[in-house]
Amino acid sequence: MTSTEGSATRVTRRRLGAVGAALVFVALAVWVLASAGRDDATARSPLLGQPAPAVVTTTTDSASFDLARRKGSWVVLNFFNSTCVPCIAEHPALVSFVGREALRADGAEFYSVINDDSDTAVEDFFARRGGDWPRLRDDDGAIAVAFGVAKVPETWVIDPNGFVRLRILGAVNEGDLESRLDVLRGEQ
Amino acid sequence: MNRGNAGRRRTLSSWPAWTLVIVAAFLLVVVGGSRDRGPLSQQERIEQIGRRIACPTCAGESISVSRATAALSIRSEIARQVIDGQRSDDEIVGYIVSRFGGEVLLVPRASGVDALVWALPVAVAVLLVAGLAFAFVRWRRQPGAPGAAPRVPRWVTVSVVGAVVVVASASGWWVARESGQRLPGQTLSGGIADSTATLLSQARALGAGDVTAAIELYGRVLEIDPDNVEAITYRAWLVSLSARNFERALRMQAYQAAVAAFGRAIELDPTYADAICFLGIIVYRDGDDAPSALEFLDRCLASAPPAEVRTLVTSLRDEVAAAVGE
Amino acid sequence: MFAAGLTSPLGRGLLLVGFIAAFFGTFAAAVGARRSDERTLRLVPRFAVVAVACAVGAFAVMEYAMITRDFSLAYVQQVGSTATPALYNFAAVWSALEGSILMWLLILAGYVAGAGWWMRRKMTDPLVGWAMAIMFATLAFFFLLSFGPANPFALGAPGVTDGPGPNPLLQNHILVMFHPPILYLGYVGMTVPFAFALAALIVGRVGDGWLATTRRWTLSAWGFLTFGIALGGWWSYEVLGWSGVWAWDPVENASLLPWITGTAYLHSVMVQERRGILRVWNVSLLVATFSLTILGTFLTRSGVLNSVHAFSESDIGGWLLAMFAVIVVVSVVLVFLRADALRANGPIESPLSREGAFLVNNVLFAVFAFVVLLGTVFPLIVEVLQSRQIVVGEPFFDRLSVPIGLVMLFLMAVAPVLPWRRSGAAVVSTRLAIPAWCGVASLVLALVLGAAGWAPMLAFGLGGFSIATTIRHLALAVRTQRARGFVGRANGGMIVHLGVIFICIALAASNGFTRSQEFDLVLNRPVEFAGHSFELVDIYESRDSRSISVRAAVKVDGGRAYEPAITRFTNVGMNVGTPSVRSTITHDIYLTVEPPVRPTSGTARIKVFIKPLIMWLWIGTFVMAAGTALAAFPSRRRDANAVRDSIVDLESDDERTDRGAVAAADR
Repeated sequence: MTSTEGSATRVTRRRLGAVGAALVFVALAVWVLASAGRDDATARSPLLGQPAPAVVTTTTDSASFDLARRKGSWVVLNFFNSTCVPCIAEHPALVSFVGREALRADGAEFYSVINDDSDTAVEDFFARRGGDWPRLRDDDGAIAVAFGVAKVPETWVIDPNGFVRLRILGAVNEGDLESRLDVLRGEQ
Repeated sequence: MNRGNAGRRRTLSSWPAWTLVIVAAFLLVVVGGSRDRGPLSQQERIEQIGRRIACPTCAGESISVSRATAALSIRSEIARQVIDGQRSDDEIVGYIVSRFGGEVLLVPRASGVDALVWALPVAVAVLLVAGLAFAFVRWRRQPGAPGAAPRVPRWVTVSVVGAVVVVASASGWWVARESGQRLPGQTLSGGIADSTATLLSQARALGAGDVTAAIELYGRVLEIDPDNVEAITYRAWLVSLSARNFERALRMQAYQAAVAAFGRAIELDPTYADAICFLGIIVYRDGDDAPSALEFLDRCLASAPPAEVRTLVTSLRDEVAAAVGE
Repeated sequence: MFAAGLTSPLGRGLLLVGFIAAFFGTFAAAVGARRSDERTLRLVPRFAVVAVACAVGAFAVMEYAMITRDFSLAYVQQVGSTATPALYNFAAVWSALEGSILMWLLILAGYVAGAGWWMRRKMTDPLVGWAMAIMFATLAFFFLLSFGPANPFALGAPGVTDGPGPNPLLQNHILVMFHPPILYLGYVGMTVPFAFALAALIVGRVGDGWLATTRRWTLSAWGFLTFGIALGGWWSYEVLGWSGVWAWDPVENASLLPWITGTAYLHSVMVQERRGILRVWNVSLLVATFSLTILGTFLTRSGVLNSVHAFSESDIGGWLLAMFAVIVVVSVVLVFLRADALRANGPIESPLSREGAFLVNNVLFAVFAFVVLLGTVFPLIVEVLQSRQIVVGEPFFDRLSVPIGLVMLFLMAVAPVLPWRRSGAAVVSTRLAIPAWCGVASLVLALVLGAAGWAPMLAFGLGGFSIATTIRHLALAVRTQRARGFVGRANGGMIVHLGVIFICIALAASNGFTRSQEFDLVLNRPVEFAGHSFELVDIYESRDSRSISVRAAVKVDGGRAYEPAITRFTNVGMNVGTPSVRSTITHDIYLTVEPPVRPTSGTARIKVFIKPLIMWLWIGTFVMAAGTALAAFPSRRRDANAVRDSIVDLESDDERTDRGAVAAADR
């Protein structure tokens, strides 16, 4: 026969235990909710190290372009749009990159892929801000989908064997692309 | 008349009437349930697939709902593949996931941590129902006697609880398996381009290092796609490179074959610079025909070849030009 | 008319005074209640008056700034524009974070003042005092939010003369005037019953008096919440252009969660009133409902998840999360302190009784709430545990909520005929006989009309079954009570059920049997689809100060032309598609036009959706609203003993029969 005192302590202990459990649960919930936030986008992709997707399209000068035919060169694809703010911001860095690569015998080929924009707007963009490399049309966004590009700007580097080696999300900083390409060339 | 009403009600609520109603309902549900709704139009199929994929820039909306650029592009791609008809729904979803990553999957996966989102609610439901059943049993046992200790032996309680937990987990796992997204394996079916692209890049990577293996890979590409210009060109090139070490007769044979191959490549695609470049090179090296070689090399340079080939050609061109000049 | 420079200090000043009033009101009410000091307690309504005056004043100042396009304020720079029409400009105040917190504040202050006035004669009761204290504390929190992190009166960059206006999606349809305020009336309204529940725990009067007192508050808040959610669905259908009504978006889920627990509470509380059990559960449901409103606001406003509604992010997240934690911890501690008084162990005689049905109902809604909560929060959990992003979307929620909906339909069919306190096995077969045949009839009808698939068939069958039961209850009530057979809790509740059943059937039909097709229509060449003809008759452009619209006029069945459009809002650079819908009682024909479309090309890509029974969603909503209003209507003259009143409300014809039968058996 349990004493009333014993059962009272049991009840109190059980109650305290339950309160404790509830507090732990709330703490966990708060921890989960507080620490989850949007990270900076990491440059992962299921395509890294894989052969580049097929890209067959035309340039704004109506010349044909086939990515597979460019094997033998480093190829840099830059997805952009003439109105997106980071695209405008990174443009000078791209101009200097292309200038530098033009001086090398094994210089990388640079192409801009137009993402949801008109030819005229793009030509206007280049006329005003400089740069004279081929701009590739991407009607329907098929190339963007093939690379898994959702937001511009994005820059992709493909090695001379046709494998995807690098993905940069967001605007490219001055000198950044050059140094990363040098690292990749060194590894080759 | 009240009598009549009561009599009618009694007939309707008698067990034969109830059996009839239950059987009729069951049959109707089965008939309707197994009825085919007819084929989906292409548009409906696209919508259905779209509802399983999230718009990558909107976080949460499916591409069937969203109007964002990325969503529209993916919808176009899905439309293309649906019209093409080669891939199943799961494969199309798998393709999009293979490009955008698992983050665009709106249907949680059938396995792994993701499956918990399916399994937990089902398990919780089973546990709560079991708890309710247990409560009812307990109330049935001692009506109006709160707090009286149940006389059920411990092992019965433990085994019942154990059974309930097992049923809960099993149903959770089963629902996750049935409803979760299962993605097809790494290799996706359909499309010549997909299979040859890998082989071509692999062959390219082997390149000068392991010529035999590379030639074999190009051969495999040509089995799949006999008109693949890159494979034709580079196999011929590698063969003629390796033929350098042979005796003259074989070298000449290799040379003829290579010229034929390059010629075929140029015929298939006149804009393919590499073929023209290689043709120029071997015409000079093995064919001793400097003027033709120069012509080919100039054509090659005008076709904007990639860097590796261009480096080869520019260094050679001066030599060829000098040879022509003599 | 005062200088623009005064707007910000005036607004902030009002918020500060309001905060002080709420702060001191909390203490006055708490101290007065604790010491049972009547004089202090009588002061409490004054604080409420000051607080509500400040809230109204601050909101008025904000509206004034918006209407006069006072671009000195950062908020007006964000959502104001010279080009936005007056009506949408007025609604622009609640189109982003700071303004919507201000609206929450306004409505909460209104409720607090309303509660203070309604309880003015009972203000000296410690229970009421503590309830007011808790309401003031919540009000003070929101004043603080508005003064601090979500400051709508912050000064913006100087020299700005125009702004982008609210999100173009919010400039498209008049519903933006109604959906957020009505939803907030529901959301915020849950504060009052919550405050009374906690007050009851603090004071130790955990009997049912406070329940009866707040019954109508809870019901009306729930009613507004229901209506607000339905308006959100209507908005999604009319504006967003994907032809659906519910996308299981995180914000939609955030508004659904308190609704689920609120509905569970409204049902479960009837068991408590009759049998005095489930008190801990009911208090927990109320606490859950209120804390879910805070959690929901956190999830949608902190930017932790993104959705169609995510118009801005700010550091308000931490505050809301802290508030949520405080509420949960305080409530849990209080419940456990009073656990002895709350716990009542009445056995329930049979699972086939009304109490048993309500218990099953509780389990059902608990599972439903868990599904929605887990699905909404799961991406966060996975992100924290595994550092990768996943999305849990429509397919998950649809798949799991279908069985829940079906069980809900079944319960709605069976529960109303079950008696209290004893097993219904004897009477169920009699009372459900005709409804069962109605269910079979609806199955036949569904088959004839072309239904297919397990879930829809079950939905239609159970729908017919439950409609029959509901109408039976109402018919019996009307037969004995004439017009009063439509009012009161039981009867009003049955009408609400009728609305719910309509909605369930409409959802089953439209989700399962929508047909769609895309056409490249050429001018004056009709196409046939699903028994209708569609002919493009015109493509034209219309401009106004803020947008360029391209409209495609499509004649349906040779009748009037419907004009879906694509509108480009020039100053934001955003395209918005507007659908055009022909609604009839049997189905809707939903038309959208896909980009790109040009007036000169002579062709337009038109998407046609044939959506069955959509109209019944809105009919069901109005039936639910009517039922809620009727349920709040007293069915007997107001009695001093409100508890007895509410029990009598519940009695249906069946129950009188049961009571008579029990009495006869006892004799």
